[in-house]
Amino acid sequence: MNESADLDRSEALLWTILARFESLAVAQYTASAPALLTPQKLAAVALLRTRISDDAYLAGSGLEAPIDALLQSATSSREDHVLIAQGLFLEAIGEAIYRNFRDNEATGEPTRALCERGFAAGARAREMIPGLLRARIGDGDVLLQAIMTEAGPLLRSIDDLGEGIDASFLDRYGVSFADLMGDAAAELIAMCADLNVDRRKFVSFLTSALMGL
Amino acid sequence: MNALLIGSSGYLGGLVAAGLLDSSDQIIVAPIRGAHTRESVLAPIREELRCEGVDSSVDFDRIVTVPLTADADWSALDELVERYAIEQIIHCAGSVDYFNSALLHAANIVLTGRLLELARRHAMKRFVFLSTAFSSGYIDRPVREELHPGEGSDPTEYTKTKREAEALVANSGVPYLILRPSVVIGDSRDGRYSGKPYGLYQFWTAFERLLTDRYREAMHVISPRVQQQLIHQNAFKNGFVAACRHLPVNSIVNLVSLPDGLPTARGIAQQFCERIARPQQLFFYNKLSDVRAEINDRRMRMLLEFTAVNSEISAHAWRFESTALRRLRSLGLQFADTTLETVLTCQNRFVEKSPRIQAYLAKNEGLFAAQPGTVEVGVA
Repeated sequence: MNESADLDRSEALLWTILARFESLAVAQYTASAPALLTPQKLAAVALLRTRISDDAYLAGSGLEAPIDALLQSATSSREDHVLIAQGLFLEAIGEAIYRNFRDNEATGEPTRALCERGFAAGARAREMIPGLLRARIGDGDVLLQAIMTEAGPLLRSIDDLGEGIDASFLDRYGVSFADLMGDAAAELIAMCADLNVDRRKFVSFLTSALMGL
Repeated sequence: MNALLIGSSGYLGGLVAAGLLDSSDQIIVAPIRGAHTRESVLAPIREELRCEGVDSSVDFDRIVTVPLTADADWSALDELVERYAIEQIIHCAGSVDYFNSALLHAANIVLTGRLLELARRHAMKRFVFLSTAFSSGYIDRPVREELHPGEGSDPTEYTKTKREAEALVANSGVPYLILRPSVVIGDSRDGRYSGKPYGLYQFWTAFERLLTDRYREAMHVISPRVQQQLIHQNAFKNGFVAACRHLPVNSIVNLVSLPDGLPTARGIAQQFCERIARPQQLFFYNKLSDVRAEINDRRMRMLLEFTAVNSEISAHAWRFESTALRRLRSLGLQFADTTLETVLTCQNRFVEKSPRIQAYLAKNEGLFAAQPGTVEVGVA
């Protein structure tokens, strides 16, 4: 349960979601990609855990099932999968979430502080991930094929979050699923272009996955 | 001629199953995989037949669903072929992932090869293969009803694998029928559609997801004045069944609408924007590179980028031989050609079923332009 009185219900839900995401990141980086287990990431998770000790605010909400499915599809002990699904995609989505709520006038100070810290932790991971991907998998078409294989199911389950995100955060914060995905897509397209992935093919893949194809 | 139908859980495979159940008394054996169940496969088939008003006269026991649990179940298929005296394979499965090479190879090449081996082992009378009208790749002449040499560039890796699969089928020694539909859209009469958001549905879905958050005074759309190769699902279904019934083995048929009334990408986009988006100003482009850099509406840019590959394919002036289809029409085939009016039927259905678009229409009614101004950008 949320142990703080200065988070309202919707912010507590946001913290709970982020705690689920970041806990998975720490578990997967610990097991399969220790380079990404940075002090910044551990500090962000520690901050989340000071306020959120269980999933009470998520339980029974419209987001519970799609979040469970998303995290399930992101979970793997294979290094390729962890680097792509967690390191590339979920970090990009995390960046979008942190940025949108950090820069949001409707969020309280604790949430803005969390988002500042989470954004910084993600930025450190995003600095490292291109080099790790290039060394482990390669770049260009080889990397694109790996991305399609490893991230396809994840993206399809992300699509299922849309209605729940909008229902929970759009009216209060003006943050919609399309905004978050737009920010994440822009970040991913830029990163993949730097890794010599054909932009047209990558965008087509994102479109298919995010449009329910 | 009893059939082994591969891909019955897909949109087109389901339409084929409905068409065959309605028009013949053959047994259809349909292997199903993964999370599919007999009921999940039969539900859309029943619904299609209900919409046609014939469900009560169809014996659904004639479709035999067989769960397959793993890739290694080919001996089970051999046993099914023997048990049900199957004489043809109807192969409607495959991947349409544009650039996922591994998946495309596995689903479109490897699977087809294995099914051809099955057909050969049992000396089947026919192998019916569902391909695509665009398997030629980009060529500057009409697409003939014959195998393609593959000299053109391909819009996607999907079209390349379909062309390679066609060659596998035609060179297998098994008598064959290859059907090449263009982009299948909803029923011409009521617009019903249960496929995924491809083609014009991609644009409509992108609008629904990205641009219904608020009213926009300006809309930017990539929509060249090029005819769009669309066929209605009822035309596809009737054409497929008629081809199976009337065409000799070793035929290839382009399942496409007559070109006379085919709408252009511009016409389709304009119809949607004027009736649904209703901006004050419409900017039309022929290609993504014509789009103004200064558009700072992020969602609008996403829509343009997300629909770019399909926009690019739709900018090619595809032309098709339709000798086989003309023959089928002369034999009585009811084939509803696509026009701007029939696309509107599909659009109306899509809009009617979209709560987001309904909310957009209700919320912004007072802001809509009676008639938007139009601007052509980058047109030579």
